[in-house]
Amino acid sequence: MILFKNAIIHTVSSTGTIKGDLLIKDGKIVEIGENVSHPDARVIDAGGLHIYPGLIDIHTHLGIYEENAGWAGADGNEYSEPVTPHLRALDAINPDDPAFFDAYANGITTVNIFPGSANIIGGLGVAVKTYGKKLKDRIVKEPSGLKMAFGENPKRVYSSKNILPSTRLGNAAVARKALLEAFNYYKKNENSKNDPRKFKLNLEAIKGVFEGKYPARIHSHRADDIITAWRIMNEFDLKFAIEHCTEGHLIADFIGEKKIPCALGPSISTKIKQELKNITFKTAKALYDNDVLFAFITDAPVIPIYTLPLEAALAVREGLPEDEAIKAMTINAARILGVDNRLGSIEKGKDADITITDTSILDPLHRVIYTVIDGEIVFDLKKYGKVVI
Amino acid sequence: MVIQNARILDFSNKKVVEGDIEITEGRIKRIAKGLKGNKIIDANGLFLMYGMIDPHTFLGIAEDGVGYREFDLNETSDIITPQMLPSYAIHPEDPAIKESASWGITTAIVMPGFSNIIAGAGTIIKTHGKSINDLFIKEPCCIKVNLTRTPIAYHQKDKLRTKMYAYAVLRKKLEETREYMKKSEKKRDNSKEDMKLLSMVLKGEIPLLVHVHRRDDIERVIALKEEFGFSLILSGCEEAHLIPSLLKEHNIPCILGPLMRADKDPETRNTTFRTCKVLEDHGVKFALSHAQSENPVKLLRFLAMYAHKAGLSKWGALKAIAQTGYEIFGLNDMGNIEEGKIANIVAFDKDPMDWKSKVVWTMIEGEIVQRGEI
Repeated sequence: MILFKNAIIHTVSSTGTIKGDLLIKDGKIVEIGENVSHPDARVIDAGGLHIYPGLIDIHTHLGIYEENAGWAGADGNEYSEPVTPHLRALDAINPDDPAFFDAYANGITTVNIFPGSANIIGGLGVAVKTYGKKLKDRIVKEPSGLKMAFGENPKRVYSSKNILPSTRLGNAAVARKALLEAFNYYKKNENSKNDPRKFKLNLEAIKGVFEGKYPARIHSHRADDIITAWRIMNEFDLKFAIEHCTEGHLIADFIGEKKIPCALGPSISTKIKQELKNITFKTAKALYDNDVLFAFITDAPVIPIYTLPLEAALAVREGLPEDEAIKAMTINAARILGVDNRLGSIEKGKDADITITDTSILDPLHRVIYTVIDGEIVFDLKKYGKVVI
Repeated sequence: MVIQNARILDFSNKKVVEGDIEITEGRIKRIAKGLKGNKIIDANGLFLMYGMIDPHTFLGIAEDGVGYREFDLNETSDIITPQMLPSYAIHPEDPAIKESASWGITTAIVMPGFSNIIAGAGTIIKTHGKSINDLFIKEPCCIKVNLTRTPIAYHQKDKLRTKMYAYAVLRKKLEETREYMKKSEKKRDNSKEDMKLLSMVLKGEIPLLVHVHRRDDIERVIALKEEFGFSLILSGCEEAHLIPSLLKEHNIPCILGPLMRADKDPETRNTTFRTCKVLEDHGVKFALSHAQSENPVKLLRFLAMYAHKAGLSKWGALKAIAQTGYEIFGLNDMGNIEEGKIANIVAFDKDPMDWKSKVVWTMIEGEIVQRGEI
């Protein structure tokens, strides 16, 4: 049981930001307010410090594109065929990837991990806490979503093998064919128990999207690729979110009207592909102005996991309100993952995942003083002795 | 022309000075209070810093937004290509050049990419101009060598498998250059552009810039410098903090970076912004760069903020993006707002280490070329 006293608590809830105390017990948040006390609590003076909900990055490849491991640790993309829905990120995660330490030492307490974007349907994601003794205890949601991809990546990978899809037309055709097969399979099995003789592992993975258990999460940079994603998902009446959303500002009104959630970023990227040419730090503000539910992502290790708050800061410099920027690393992320009952804000009963900094987390000069996951202090700057960047 | 009411960041004295700047023929003529002129720019309290330099970029040769198939970055047809001159590929309309200028980077060094043992020459450019003639400052400013495992990754199918071979190939080429230099001028084959460029290195006219990651490679390259007697700049240098005394002893400048990288590569596993503080403490000269990273050149100032967060002094951080890079390449008339320097000046609305500060205008050679971040 830990009691943090006299902090600036950004609850990211209707309570707003308050000056006060925070009590955590048995891995949960127990009390927030002024003059909180408990005889058994370890009291930590957090005077002048900022407390935030633990940050969440809903689109990473931690553990499957391992840091420092080269070819041996690269398990992100199964390049052998373009439709592989039955792959699970969970089956490749190395919990010893040092990137998880980089994450929690910088206040990121939950990450969603996806297969890469080489395939039209890449596989199933998993959301995990960044610290914990056993991987199975760290799982927040599995599967967390079905990763799909449109645009240049699948086209580039499979045109080099001279097989379908080698064009954007091919991308859409491959996606629609796979979804149609899954739809037929889902309809056939809707009212009956699965006949093990007819059980199809790949279609089962897509079936979860038809059943509404998890959304499709579709990598799309260009505006027309975003619209392709919507048209196909709309055809099958499926829930989905857009990943990267690089040209989101060009069609922010459309995205708002259709209520499409977006995993936005990383914006601190060179325009190395043609589909990135309109990348800008202004997209977040445009999405906010159109009431889009969005969260920032790093796509780590594409850019380092510790730059998640920098993504938010650069959007604030372009007019996004600071509160909204914090939401887009916490509660919005939890909502897109469907775990906002447990994570994403500092409210009674939620998981005690918190980040404590010496100044605004948006300021690149901030230092993380403590990170708490499931009620346990997992990073203590004084003990570790140096910032982890 | 006079810029009035400025807050001037003076790197030499590590302080902010209030005053006016007189500029004549693209150079800073005088800094004082109460200066008058026929053309006035009222800075109205803006923070003025010297224009930033990124000393290792691919601006104009790995153009933004066109896709890698259009890049003129890596001449993968061979592993030794010293005769590659970026001025023959730099596209002045690369949007990244203009964007970099608008974020306060006035000078950049463009190098060929990372696929070859000897990649080619470095080219110093300004970030403003319609043609390469406008952009051009100097070429060759160095010859770039890459002794990381990246060239091996590019050429392992046919030309190169191990670092042993990479070093052997490089040493052989330097030996050949020595032989070439021994010949009388009449007997030299005048068509050998590669020999001519490498002779410049061995004569000490231009430095050899060597991209390395690991500490052991830093040691090897310094031994190579001793053997062949060239002037050395190290680039990449992610393990410099593990060997700072050697760097100081041999007075080797480092272009650090990219540091903002979560690499999948075992060679760069010790990458950290803390390197900057270690080098500062040991008096090793270093500049920050975005080289070969996923981040745009325009975010150079944010690298300085991260370095400061990891212990580098504030003035050390600013100098690492707006002064040391010039020093390393001998650009002695650039690198601080002081009398006699070329008038490359960036105006910020707040202290440039404040994350909310923005560039208001960028001046190159006395002319305002951009107004606000793009």
